Amino acid sequence: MISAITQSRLILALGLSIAFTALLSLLTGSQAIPLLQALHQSFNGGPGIYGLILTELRLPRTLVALLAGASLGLGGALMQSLLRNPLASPGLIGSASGAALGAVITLYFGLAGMFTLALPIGGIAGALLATLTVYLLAGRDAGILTLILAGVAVNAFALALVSLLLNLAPSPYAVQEIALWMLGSLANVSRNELWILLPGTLAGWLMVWRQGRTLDLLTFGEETAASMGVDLHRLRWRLFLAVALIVGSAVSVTGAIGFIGLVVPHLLRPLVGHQPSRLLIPSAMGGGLLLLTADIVVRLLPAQGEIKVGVVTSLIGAPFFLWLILQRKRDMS
Amino acid sequence: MQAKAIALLLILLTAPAAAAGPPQRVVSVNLCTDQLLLMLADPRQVASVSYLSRERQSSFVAEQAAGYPLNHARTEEVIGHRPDLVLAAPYTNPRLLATLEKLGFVIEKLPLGYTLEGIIKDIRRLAARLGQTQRGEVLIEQMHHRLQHNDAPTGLLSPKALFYQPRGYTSGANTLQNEALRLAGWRNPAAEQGVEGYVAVDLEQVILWQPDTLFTSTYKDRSISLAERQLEHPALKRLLAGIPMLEIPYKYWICPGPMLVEAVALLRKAREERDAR
Repeated sequence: MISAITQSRLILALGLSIAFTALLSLLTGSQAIPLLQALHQSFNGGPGIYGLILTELRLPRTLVALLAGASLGLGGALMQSLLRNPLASPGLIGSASGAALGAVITLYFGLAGMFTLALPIGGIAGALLATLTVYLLAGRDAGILTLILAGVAVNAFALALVSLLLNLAPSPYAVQEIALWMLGSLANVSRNELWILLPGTLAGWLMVWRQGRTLDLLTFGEETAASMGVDLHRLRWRLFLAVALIVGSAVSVTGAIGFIGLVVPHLLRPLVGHQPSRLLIPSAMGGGLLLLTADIVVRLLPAQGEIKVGVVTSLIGAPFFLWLILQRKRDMS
Repeated sequence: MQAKAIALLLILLTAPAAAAGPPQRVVSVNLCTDQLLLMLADPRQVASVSYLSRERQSSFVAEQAAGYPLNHARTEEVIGHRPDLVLAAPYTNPRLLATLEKLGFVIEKLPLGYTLEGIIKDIRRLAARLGQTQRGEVLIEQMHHRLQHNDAPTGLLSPKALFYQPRGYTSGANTLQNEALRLAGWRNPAAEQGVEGYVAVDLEQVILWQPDTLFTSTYKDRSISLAERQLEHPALKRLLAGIPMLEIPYKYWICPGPMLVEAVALLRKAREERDAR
């Protein structure tokens, strides 16, 4: 009972932080704009330039950061619970790089020009394919090391293909966009990107709705869970598909942003009593919060040209990853 | 060792030619010098032009260039043409030029101006170097004539225009695009705000400059990339109130030359259409 109260408090705290950070995000840009005037122009639908900056640049960027970050955080929590592996996350088991590959194929070779949703569909298909490959390579009861190694191989392969395809793409600008797909960026996203992101994201979120209990059962081990009525085969497919939907959609718009899916569930797990069902919503919120914060940092850093947001998340995430490995090493010895 | 010997042999072969009269075997390694060369030289003086001179979107003299051997600004190719004059731009690969210089080839680096005066200076300088002073003056005269032919409406309340390219690049002061905009009676807010050269600017900045119109140029056929998608950002569409961006052929203003007046003519037409609205 006590931890349930803690969870609602946690959600409340995360919600307030998100509201505050979102407001900060609307106030942050390369140019200072008068907020009151901007709001006035936005709500009156007038042609004012401040309203334009607020509603067409900063608002979509804020929303995309929150949604994409939430998907990455949730994807990490789902994968870690499903595979009962603390290092499973969209970035490490191939979903994100597979999604980038799928998105690159559809975008630069004309499919996305034919219909808008081709781009996220490409991302989703790529994410699913890469995840399944890793899963099949590593085997069902893979140890941490095997899974990570399979992930490394698939990641390297997918990113090499991204790089190769961008070199072969007909657009003269494609080569310069390699960094964007590998590190991720939210620069210049518009409401068009929001519409690209939304359908797959909502579908994926709906698919994991009320799956928390089943994941809780899974913590007792697969056999026990199965004896308690969990259809493991269906569960795996359902969650793989859901993660592909949300991560594929997010990466199609932002590129592969690293470490959010790994770090966020780990940070929050001790706060929710190590219960997967209680981890999902906070992880989504935490992911959104982390990506939005990183994106604000990116906008504030004085640099020639904007720094990719994945640089910031990796700067936070990579040391955390190392710490995690050291922690495990100590546990094992 | 063998390469050195061949190089030496080449120097011996070419050195006498360089000494007397106007050059007879000119090799240009840069799109901008290609174009001025083809406009000014006698066809028999041209030994080779760069491969870019045949690109129809970038080169104003693409058809004319079709008859000449091409080079890719590689040392061996250039030497192979046994030039008595090599034409280069200020930003031509310094390693290539250093090697050529060491081997005793004569190099002319054109400054490539970004104003009308600069263009005229470039033309005069190259024309003199080629022994074609008369052709140079004719070219300059034609340019002046076309510019005065359709006079620019100017004033403090001139409308604002930006040159806006994929990835958000724009041209500030000291660029041909800025000069063309000025000659056509547009104000360039980027140059007025101290932007210099060809640089990327932030979308928020572009909106705050409130340009009345945006001009753009493609140097390849339109393709799909995130860079090009940026030109279709809904914020830009709303800023321009649905008026589409105007495409100016790249070949008119990527290099200094008389073709700049073609860009000016299009920009003036756009200006008149805007005033009529």
